[in-house]
Amino acid sequence: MAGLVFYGLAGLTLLSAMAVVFARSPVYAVLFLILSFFTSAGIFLLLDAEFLAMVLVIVYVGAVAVLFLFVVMMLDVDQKHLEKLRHYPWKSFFKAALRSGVLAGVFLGVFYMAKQLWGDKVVFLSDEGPLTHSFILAAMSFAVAYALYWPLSKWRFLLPSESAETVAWVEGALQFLIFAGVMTYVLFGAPSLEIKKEVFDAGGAPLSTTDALSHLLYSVYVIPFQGVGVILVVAIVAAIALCLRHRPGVRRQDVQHQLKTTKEDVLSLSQPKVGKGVEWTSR
Amino acid sequence: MLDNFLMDLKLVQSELVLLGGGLILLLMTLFPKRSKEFFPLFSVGIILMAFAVLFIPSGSWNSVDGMQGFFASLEASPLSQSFRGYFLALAAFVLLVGGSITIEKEKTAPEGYSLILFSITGGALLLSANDFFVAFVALEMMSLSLYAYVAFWSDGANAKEAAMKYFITGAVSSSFFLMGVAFIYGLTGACQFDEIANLMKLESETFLSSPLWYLGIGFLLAGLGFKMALAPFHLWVPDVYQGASTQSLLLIGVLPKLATLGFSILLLKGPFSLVYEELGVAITFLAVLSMGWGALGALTQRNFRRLMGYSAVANMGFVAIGLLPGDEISLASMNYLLIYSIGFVAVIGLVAYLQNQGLSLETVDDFVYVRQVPEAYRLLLALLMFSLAGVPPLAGFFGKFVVFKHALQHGYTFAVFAGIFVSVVSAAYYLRIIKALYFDALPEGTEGLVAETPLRQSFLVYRLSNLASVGLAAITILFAFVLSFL
Repeated sequence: MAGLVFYGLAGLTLLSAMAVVFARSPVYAVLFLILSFFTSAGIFLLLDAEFLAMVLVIVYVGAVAVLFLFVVMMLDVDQKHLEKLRHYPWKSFFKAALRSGVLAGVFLGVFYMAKQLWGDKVVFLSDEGPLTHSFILAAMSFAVAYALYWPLSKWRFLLPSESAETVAWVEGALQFLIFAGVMTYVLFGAPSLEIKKEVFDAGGAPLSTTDALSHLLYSVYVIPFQGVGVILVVAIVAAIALCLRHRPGVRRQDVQHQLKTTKEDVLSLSQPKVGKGVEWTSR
Repeated sequence: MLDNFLMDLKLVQSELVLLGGGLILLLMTLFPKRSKEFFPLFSVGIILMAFAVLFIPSGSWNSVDGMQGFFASLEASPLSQSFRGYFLALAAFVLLVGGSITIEKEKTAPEGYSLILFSITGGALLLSANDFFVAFVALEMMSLSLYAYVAFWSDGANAKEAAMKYFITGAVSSSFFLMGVAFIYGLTGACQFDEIANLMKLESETFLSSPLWYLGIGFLLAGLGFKMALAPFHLWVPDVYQGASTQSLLLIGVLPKLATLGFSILLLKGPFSLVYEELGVAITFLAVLSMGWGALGALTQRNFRRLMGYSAVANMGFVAIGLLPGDEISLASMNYLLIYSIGFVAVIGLVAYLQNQGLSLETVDDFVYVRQVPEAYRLLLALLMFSLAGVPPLAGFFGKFVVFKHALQHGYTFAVFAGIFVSVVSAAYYLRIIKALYFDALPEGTEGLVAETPLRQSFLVYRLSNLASVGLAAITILFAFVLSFL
């Protein structure tokens, strides 16, 4: 059951992340980004890391993504440039997808063969081993990355280098490494988290990570925690004090002045004579 | 539970007072119509209150015996309590001098003073830290507020350069510090000073043979050296000293140095006590390099502020001599730093005061014009210069004497001879100012040019700045008698 939910969420994350790339309107792209944040928060929940999930939603969705949205709405996006994106080379995409699928299949085949041969002896390769999941996910992400980057190489204007294929390979390999690293960390790190939880578990039900974290933050680390709060105050004061300066010669809006302005201050009526025009008087 | 918490709160009473003062100042931005004297005086009052509150946990000055709190992340030992006392007293002095002098030239904004109070909070917290987490957060609190304060008054290219350089070098030094903490945590698995000290005793063989240990201590010393402006890490000093406003210069020239020096002494006496002996060579290297580089740099400077910057580097070299490992807890370095800091505050304050009178004292040669103001100022400046150079009846001599005595007692002859040599060399640039004060002739046509610009200063400001600079000078001179009893 948990596996089903996980693959559903992961698939949705991947789909919405792809939609971020492919959405023609940048606003839609940011909205898809928010969706992918939500689904990754769901994955965090599955991993019993509900604090991380909430932080992801509050910080990234509530603050960062909304800022993104503001910025995107303020940008003057050139629609004509976007038109070029419409003619996506589907043919080469399918070719590349086929190729990367075969490649991922080869990877997985080699991996399973190794597992069959040495699965009893090497812990990494056993069913509980952390490498299994990370390897499958990494192979999947590699395949997706390869399938995406290959057709991109047809569009030279999007890529910095001439040999676009190399770029695609490099990026795919990078994704592979990143994904493998993250997954290994998550799966290796989880047991140590369990140990930390046991420290604060006073014989009853195991604490959630939020409980464990808050116990730590408000007991052992209360001074650094509050100190960081003071530092944030300092940062806010500094940012406001450094940016809000009333320099002479700088035009700025003065609401009080605007509100107090009357008709007599800004409006003057005159009766111009024919052919003379109105004389300009600056206030 | 609640009793425990209330007991723990006693450890941070002075920090809470400072923090509350800073927040009240922030609220005061809502009511901006206040006299200019109000904010500096309010801040000085807050600091004095924190100073008074500091000794409540013990009931007396020096009888706290390693009281710990907040899960042993803070500790109030006699040593750290006295360091916090020095720190707060010096901070009050600096604010009194700086606030009264800069009141006319710079706009008074409460947020600036609240930044200063936050910075002092960080410094006081750093001195009671018993945990690397607390220490890092406190260090950042102290320095971030100071970066912001330096940038706060940055009008003009020099000032902007100073703000930028101070910020960037400070950030680099913080990362060095953090790297050192990471190495030590990686080796010992502990961040609390007591735990590290215990582990050191239990498994000293493993630790002392590990390169991680020395790498960690090296990074820590480098990070603290940046803040203290010791020699290979001092490159920001001259530019920042030249560009910063008077008030920020007084703050950054005195407070971070004292706090980090106190923290270093506590570190070397606490968790690193077993390797303290072996660090003698490294500290000697830092000391000799700082003294030499600072003195040689100051010799070539014409700009007064830059000269004071290089002289600060040289003086921190003398402080590092006092930090050399010894048998008992030696406070030679703290003594020296206190005497130097008071002299520094007095000199910078006096010069800024004379600049407010309309004198232009940018370069060393400009000091000929000091004879245009009343004679007492010239005498005071000359005495302060003699004190900085270390001429016997004055306080500067006793600072150097105590430091050299400490190093000689523990067999660091090379450092002592280097120090004596450098103090002879460094006398040259202090004497150059005295030469300009007394022996150089005024340039043609400027004899009658007495600064007659009437000062738009309120009575209180006038009295305060006079009182503060004269009082500090008197303390610098009288310190000799206090110390001669040691």
